[in-house]
Amino acid sequence: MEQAIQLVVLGVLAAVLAQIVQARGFGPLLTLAVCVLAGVVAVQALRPLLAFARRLQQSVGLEQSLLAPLWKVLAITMVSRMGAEICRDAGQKALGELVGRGGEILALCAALPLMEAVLSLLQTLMGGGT
Amino acid sequence: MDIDLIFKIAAVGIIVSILNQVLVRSGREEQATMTTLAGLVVVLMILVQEIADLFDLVKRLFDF
Repeated sequence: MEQAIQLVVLGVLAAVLAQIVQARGFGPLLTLAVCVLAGVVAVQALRPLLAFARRLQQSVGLEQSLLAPLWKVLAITMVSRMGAEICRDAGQKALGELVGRGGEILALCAALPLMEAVLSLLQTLMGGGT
Repeated sequence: MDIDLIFKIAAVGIIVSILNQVLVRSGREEQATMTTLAGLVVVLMILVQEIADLFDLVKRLFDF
């Protein structure tokens, strides 16, 4: 709860300060700083969730290679989404679009081993494994 | 959470704005531009380390 309040206070404070220093181009930098700080808090908060997921994975007996792409996709999505929104805030919509789409494509690439595993499982189930 | 970073950036922004106004009013537009640029570089130098820390944390936590 304290972290949620900290995040809200940080966001509101930065929004007010960004309005003050907007004129000389410091607004986007302030936004970037807040995004980085809030990102660190959010990622740190993810730590127990990830530990729980790993414990669950070990108790169920799932392979690490099956869950690794999932974490990679999550990380790529978080980082690229943040970058895209910062670019949009700075008034560069084309750059934001590029960063966002690039992140989506890279996330798909990271999920490729998972899709290959599903494909091979389907082929095995249908009896046509190659 | 290092909230001082936000105040540091805002302080640099406000100081640069004041310096910019003073220099523009006294007819030194080039120096005003240089001051703004220097302020932006200083803030970027502060931010780069924080961004690197965030990316390191993400890499470590998500097994990259």
